[in-house]
Amino acid sequence: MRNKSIVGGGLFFLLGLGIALYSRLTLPTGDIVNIGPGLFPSALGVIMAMLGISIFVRGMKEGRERITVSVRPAFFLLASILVFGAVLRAAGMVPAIVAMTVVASLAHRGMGPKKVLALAAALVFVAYVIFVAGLDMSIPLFAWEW
Amino acid sequence: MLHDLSTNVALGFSMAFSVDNLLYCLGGVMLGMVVGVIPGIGAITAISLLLPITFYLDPLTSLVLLAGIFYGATYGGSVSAILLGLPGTPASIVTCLDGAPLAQKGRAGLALFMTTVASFSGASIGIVIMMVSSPLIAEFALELGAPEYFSLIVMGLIAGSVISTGSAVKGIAVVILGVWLGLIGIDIYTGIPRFNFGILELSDGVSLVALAMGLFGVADVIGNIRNGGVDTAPASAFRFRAMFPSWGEVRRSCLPMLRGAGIGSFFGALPGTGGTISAFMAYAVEKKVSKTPERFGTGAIEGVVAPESANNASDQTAFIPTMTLGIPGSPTMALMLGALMIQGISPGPLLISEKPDLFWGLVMSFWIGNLLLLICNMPLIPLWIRILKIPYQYLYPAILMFVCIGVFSVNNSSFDVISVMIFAALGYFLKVLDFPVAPLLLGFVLGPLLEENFRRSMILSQGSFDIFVSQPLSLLFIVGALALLCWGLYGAFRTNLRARRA
Repeated sequence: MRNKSIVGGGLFFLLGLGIALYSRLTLPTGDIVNIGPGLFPSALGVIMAMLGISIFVRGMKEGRERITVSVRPAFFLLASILVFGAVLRAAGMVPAIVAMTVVASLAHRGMGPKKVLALAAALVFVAYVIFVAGLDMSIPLFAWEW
Repeated sequence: MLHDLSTNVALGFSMAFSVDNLLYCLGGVMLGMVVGVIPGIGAITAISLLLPITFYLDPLTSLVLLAGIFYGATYGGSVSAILLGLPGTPASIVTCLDGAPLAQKGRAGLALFMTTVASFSGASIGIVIMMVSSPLIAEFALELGAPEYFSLIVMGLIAGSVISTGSAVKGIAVVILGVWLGLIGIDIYTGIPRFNFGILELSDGVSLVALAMGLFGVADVIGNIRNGGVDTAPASAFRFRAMFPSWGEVRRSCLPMLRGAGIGSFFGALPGTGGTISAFMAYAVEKKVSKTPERFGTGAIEGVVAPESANNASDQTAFIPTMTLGIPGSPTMALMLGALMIQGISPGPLLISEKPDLFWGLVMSFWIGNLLLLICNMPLIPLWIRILKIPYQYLYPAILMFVCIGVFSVNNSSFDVISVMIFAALGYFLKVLDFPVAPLLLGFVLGPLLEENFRRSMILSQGSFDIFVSQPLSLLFIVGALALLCWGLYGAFRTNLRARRA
């Protein structure tokens, strides 16, 4: 895994190849006048794979490069969305926003618990004004209201 | 013709002046200014976040809101460009060049006043051009058949992925990925499901809301946190007293404003080029025609008004291809089109004649929105300065909140949540690997149209590809697409050479 172009080009090549093969194998191609559902996507896949190769080849000529993935923010931000969904079902919007804010704040170092709670309270207020009062969305504030 | 225009204007105003539309116009431009002022959050993020809200609004109100965010952000972007020397939006990058020096000289008030006036003038000219030309273009577009549409979409996709992205090849690869994502779902010709991998929810296709939110909501946040958010530099001091220009400055600004508006209106309507390129072009032209080009970069007022007039004019004319042809020229416009499609309206040449209330209501709301921006921009600047001091760690949970509630409000399905997470991961990985993300959205919206027109052309021509080059208009678009492609590849080649020499 030398650099960004090699990795990216390689992934696009594989994806393009996959799309082309999958279309050829599972979808009728039809003929050129009455095109079936498989022809256009398999053409796309071929073009994508060719572009992938050209990106890959160009990457071979470039120097080494560090690919830095920030795992911590990615993990906590994606987790916060899941947490929101789970808590929303179980307990309603207000607890869901608080839980989401707490998890999301872990993505970024250096926010104290007081600040997180204050932020959560502010977000609950904003959400209430916009979505419940403003747009009249049927989203339960607390699930035990049901 | 003139009579038509006046009845349409009256119709448009009667639509735009409804209480709802006025309120959402105000809300849109205000929110647009806020996201424009804050570097790192742009119109496309805000529009993605508010897309689910439009399910609760009627089509015109949705468009008024989303469009307000779009052009409001361009006004806001110049505020941080001048006060911080940091562009709030990509379109205000050039404004920094002379805006920041003006602010350092204690003339921030003047620069802000002049950009507000220039923005309004540019936008006004853009709106007038849109009002006059849209009906004509729509009428002309009725003549376009499937082959012309196919070639036009190809040109649009190539323009959108080649211009203003780092690498032409990477841009096209991403746009094709977008096209493929757009094809997921049931094939309209045969009813055969494609690429749904046995997942029932995918039969209706990938959700635009989930895609936009994942790419421009969540993925952006992940990227920004890594960079420690966006720095907030101390803002230059500014006083209201020093804001009025001298007579000489007014005289020096008039022609650049007009030229900027012309350049912006032209590039705004073209596919692939938008506010950023318009602003760069306008700045370059002013520097070229100026008798004192050495003043540029040290606080020349022309270097501020011309690009600001240009990017605002281009914001308005960008709506022309979207509303008259149904072909968006930029990812943001693709979202606007998507918002209309969500409402069951597919824009095309018939939109203006079949839904005049929608089209003219939107156009007239541009006048109202720009007037609101003209009035509000200056008085609200103290507020923007305070907003700029909010650290990013408080902003990103707010973005996430909009994503979460937005996703759940649409279908309340866990499938949508998973989609958002997948697209967030996709967007983030593309960013990490230095691929442009925005063309994906353009491909996604235009993909189905591209395939449909290709298949129709093949039926028309009995399977001969000649149909794309035998019609003069189609040939023109194909040549345009090829020219853009060569230009993009040559550009990449040239930077490669330069990099090797260095």
